[in-house]
Amino acid sequence: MARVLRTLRRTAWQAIPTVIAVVVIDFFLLRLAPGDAADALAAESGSATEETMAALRAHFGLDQPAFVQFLSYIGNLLHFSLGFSPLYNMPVSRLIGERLPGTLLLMATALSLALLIGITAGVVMSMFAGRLTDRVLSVIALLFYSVPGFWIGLMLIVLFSVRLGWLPSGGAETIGAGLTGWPWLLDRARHLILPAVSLALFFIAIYARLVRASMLEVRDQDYVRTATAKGLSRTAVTLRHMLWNALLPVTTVAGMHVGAILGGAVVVETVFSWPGLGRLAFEAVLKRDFSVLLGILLLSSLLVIAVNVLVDLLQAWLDPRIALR
Amino acid sequence: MPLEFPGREDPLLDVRDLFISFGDNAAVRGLDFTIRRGETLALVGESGCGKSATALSLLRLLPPAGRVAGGSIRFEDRDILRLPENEMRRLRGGAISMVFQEPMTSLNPVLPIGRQITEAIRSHERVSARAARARAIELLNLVRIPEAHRRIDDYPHTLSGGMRQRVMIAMAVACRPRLLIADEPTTALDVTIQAQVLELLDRLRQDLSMGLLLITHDLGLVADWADRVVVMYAGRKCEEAPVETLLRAPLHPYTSGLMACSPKLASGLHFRQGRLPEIGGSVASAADVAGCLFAPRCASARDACHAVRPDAKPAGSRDHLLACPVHAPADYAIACC
Ligand SMILES: Nc1ncnc2c1ncn2[C@@H]1O[C@H](COP(=O)(O)OP(=O)(O)OP(=O)(O)O)[C@@H](O)[C@H]1O
Ligand code: SF4
Ligand SMILES: [Mg+2]
Repeated sequence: MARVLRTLRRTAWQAIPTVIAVVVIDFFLLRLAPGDAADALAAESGSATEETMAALRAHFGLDQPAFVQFLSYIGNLLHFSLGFSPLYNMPVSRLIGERLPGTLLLMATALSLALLIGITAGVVMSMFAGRLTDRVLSVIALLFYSVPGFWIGLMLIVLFSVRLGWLPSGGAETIGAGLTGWPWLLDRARHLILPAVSLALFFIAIYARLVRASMLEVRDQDYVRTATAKGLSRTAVTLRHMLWNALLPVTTVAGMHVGAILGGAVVVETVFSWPGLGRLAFEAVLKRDFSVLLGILLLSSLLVIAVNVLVDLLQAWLDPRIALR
Repeated sequence: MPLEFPGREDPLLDVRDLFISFGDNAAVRGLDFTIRRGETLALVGESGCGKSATALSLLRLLPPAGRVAGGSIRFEDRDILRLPENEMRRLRGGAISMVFQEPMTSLNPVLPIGRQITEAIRSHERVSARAARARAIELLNLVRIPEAHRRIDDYPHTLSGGMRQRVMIAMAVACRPRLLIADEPTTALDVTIQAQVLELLDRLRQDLSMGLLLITHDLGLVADWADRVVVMYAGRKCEEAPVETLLRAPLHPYTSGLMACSPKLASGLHFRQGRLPEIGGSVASAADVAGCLFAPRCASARDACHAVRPDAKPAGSRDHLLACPVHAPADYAIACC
């Protein structure tokens, strides 16, 4: 336990320079985009004059030089504030706080699905390596791997919502239904299925291929032969001796892909009008609401860092040879 | 066949005319041997002569590339090569166990050693997790692992090579096998540890009255630990005899060569010339030989040797088998025909 705490503290210190770099680079990169929030507001209302726009810019500090804006942003951060969104007219932290649970739910569901189905498929493929089952699954995996998530999302909507009418085509729950208890939970789950599946498919393909390769490598190890020589059943050898060892490389890649899942969430949330951070980020880009975008980027990098710590801990738990430093 | 082969009376293991091939490459070509209950048979030969392939075939554990191409393997009253897979599984680690050459890689790195022993027990007997654990501690004590009750939860990487091999042995004898196959159990260990591990194996063989197949490339080892010896060259038996007979009066040129290569035995054979001799050439030269497989490396080879491949036949006494007409005593031809 003390080891775990030490690891956490060390990672926290190491994360600081990363976070600073993220903030600095993102801040100035976003300035390169043409236009600002005042332009977007003006375009939205359609009747803005030069004076009202100047007033807006002055109000939100958008007329200041970039460097001054940067300093004030850093000042905010030091007070644990992410700033204020001119467009949504509320503090960025509140805005993000409202959308974060939706995204986390979507990501966690997609990741669980991807791990569960991906690992199972990978094990099955490795057990039948070179035979028909393996070939069919490999082709399916290749398909999931190469087709873009938004297209899969659209096709799922066409099939399950439009044609079959089984599942809702968007949103996170039935608005105004006033459900509670089990019906509410069921309603949420029905809304979750399609976006989570379209987000997961790509990662299912990745994990399946990875687990398959990893299992085939582990299969020739001496300790697998020992396990068979002990008289264990094929299932016990596969699950207890091979899979456990085969998962070690998978955890590393799974950790690296959490950032990618977050990126995929932007697209999927947009397709399914899922109220999450991804869609918020998308809107923020269109409307040049940089304070919101910066907040989301900062949060994402923190999330990725946190996941990497989790992966470290997970690996140390999986593999006793890894000493936590 | 009118011949009485040694050990053929109710043998524990009876291997006849075994052929094993890896693709087109024949690793074992017509090997016969038997093991009696409670005895130690040493299988000796240089690297690549098919010792491991033979050992693995006894448990049907050959890698996918290899297969038994002919012959029969009988264990007690069972035909190993025809046994259904589920019965084979019960035999593995049950009546027949195996200790492998590489203690560093033969244990699963992510499971505690105790767990690896208990799962062996529990895959053969219906015992509670608790009872299995108690027995694992007993077994670790039996193989002389200090502080067994504490070490049982250790992972393999925290143990030395010798300790790991002891764990492997504990695991192998967990279900009181009647036959233990030890494939070069000490090759990867320090010389000082080697004797301890062999002594342990020998003590367990006596205590549990197991048959022991001791595979080694070092003829020096067999003097102390084996009852009988089978010397193997390029997948065939060239000589077989009780250990005293073989060491006192080896007949086959390859056996003599092996003895000359062993530091322990060489001194007795007046081979001491400052450095150990080697047998010239390599086993690979036997790949496409028509007659005696050893002929390309044999100093006393003659034309006949290249024409006919000799089988192992009694030479001198009934339990001394030899596959070389040239070095046979006078009664060789009579005994065989
Ligand atoms: N997996 C494999 N694929 C192809 N050929 C193999 C394989 N394993 C063994 N062989 C071949 O079978 C022959 C016998 O190998 P085996 O491992 O039985 O030798 P050995 O007597 O145990 O040698 P060592 O003392 O090195 O362990 C060798 O010539 C080798 O080339
Ligand atoms: S048969 Fe001939 S070649 Fe073979 S070992 Fe005897 S003497 Fe040498
Ligand atoms: Mg070997």
